[in-house]
Amino acid sequence: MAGTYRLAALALFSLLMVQPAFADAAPWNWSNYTGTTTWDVTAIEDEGGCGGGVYTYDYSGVIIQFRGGSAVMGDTGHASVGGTFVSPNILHIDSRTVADPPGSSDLSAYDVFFTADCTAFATRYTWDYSGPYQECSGSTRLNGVNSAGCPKPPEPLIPPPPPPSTQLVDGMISSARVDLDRALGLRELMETQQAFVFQHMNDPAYATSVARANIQIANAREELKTLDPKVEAAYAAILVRDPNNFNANWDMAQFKKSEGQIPDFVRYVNNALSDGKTAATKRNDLRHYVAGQMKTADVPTPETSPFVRQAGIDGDAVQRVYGYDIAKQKENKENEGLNLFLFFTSGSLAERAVRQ
Amino acid sequence: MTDNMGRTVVACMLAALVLAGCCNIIPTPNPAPAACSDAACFIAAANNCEDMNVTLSGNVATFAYTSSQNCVFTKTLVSVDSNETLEMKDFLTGKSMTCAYQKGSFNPGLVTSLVDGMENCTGGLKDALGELLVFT
Repeated sequence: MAGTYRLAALALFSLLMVQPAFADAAPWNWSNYTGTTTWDVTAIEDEGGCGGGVYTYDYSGVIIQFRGGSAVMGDTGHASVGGTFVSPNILHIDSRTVADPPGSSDLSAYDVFFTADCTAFATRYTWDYSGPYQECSGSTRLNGVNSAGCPKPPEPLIPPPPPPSTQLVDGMISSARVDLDRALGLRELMETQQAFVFQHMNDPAYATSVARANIQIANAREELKTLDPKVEAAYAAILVRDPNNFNANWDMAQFKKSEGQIPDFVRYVNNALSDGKTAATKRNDLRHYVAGQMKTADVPTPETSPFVRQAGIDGDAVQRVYGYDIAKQKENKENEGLNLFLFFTSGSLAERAVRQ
Repeated sequence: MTDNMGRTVVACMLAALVLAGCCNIIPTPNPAPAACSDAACFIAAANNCEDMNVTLSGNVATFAYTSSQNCVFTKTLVSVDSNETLEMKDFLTGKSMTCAYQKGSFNPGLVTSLVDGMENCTGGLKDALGELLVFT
């Protein structure tokens, strides 16, 4: 009998002391994931309200950065944007205004629905366009596919070894570019809207649109008060680690130009282009980008196009841009085209063209 | 002729003279500025922030230029030379850019050059020209 009681006590003790074989694991979903994924996205733009038709655009390699509870989606026609998960696989994007040259568009809020097997997402939003020649409304439908499926399980509790410094800097740049793109977009929106205001401010038929444009300009200016220092600090931290990093210098050049800080813009351009090997690679990236824009195998050259030849002649003749003497910038003939591109084009275009 | 009739005649003559003089001082509306047919005329009008538009054909393309009383300039590429490829035509035709400026400080290069001055403009034409500059 005593033995039986001892055995029962031992069994009870064992039951009490047994640790669970596993803890209840939180089910995996996009809202608790941290990492970057790549998607192929089809955008279907309904421009019937604007006198156009229904157009389909394909975007490959669109990056979505997941940040455990929020995410930033890459550009699919209306600039990159961040949102917050409202449920495990539904990402909410607030309404916003984006530059849509020659005007701007007010985008509705929308929810992005991700499938549980991680292979697709879908969403739809409406937009109201306002420009110098028309105001109209339409909608955009986005369908994304990801053949990689669900990402790997979370990292183990044992901290991984520190990443190589280049990976760390690349990650910092990738993160800083979210705010940079927002700042560049806001400034370009302000430029477009200001030109619209100048053009129509004395026309009573445009009074409502002009008032709206002025509000958008004021809102953008307010947001930039906190965004600009954030961008500045992020890139300062990067350049402390890697002062000659091509991408960081290129990005800061666009940022400084957008602020009207031309001497600083030139300094960062020169830093970037001092890396001749990377400059040559970026020139090639631009080549592919422009050829893609033109839907042609290769870009036109002065030898093949009278127009490009004349643009080169006229570019050579330009002495000052933004009031800055660019003679020195054109001394390096190999980078002259890149320099002119950087001086003349918008910052967001310069960013899009090199992020291939 | 009696004195009364004489006075009447004189009064009528004076009235006629006055009326003739009035007709000469009735203000007439300022005539509308003459339309421009060349770059120099348009540049002068734009510099003065006048409502003006003109289409000019150059060596490599035809552009439409407009200026307004609000000192806003618009440049639109209407067509490129027939020697260009179809892709260049599709890439450039119809693109425009808009530039605000101060009265008296219009940059003539915006008309006489493909690229001069465009850093102060916004629009698809500016981006397209900037992209082509890389390969010049």
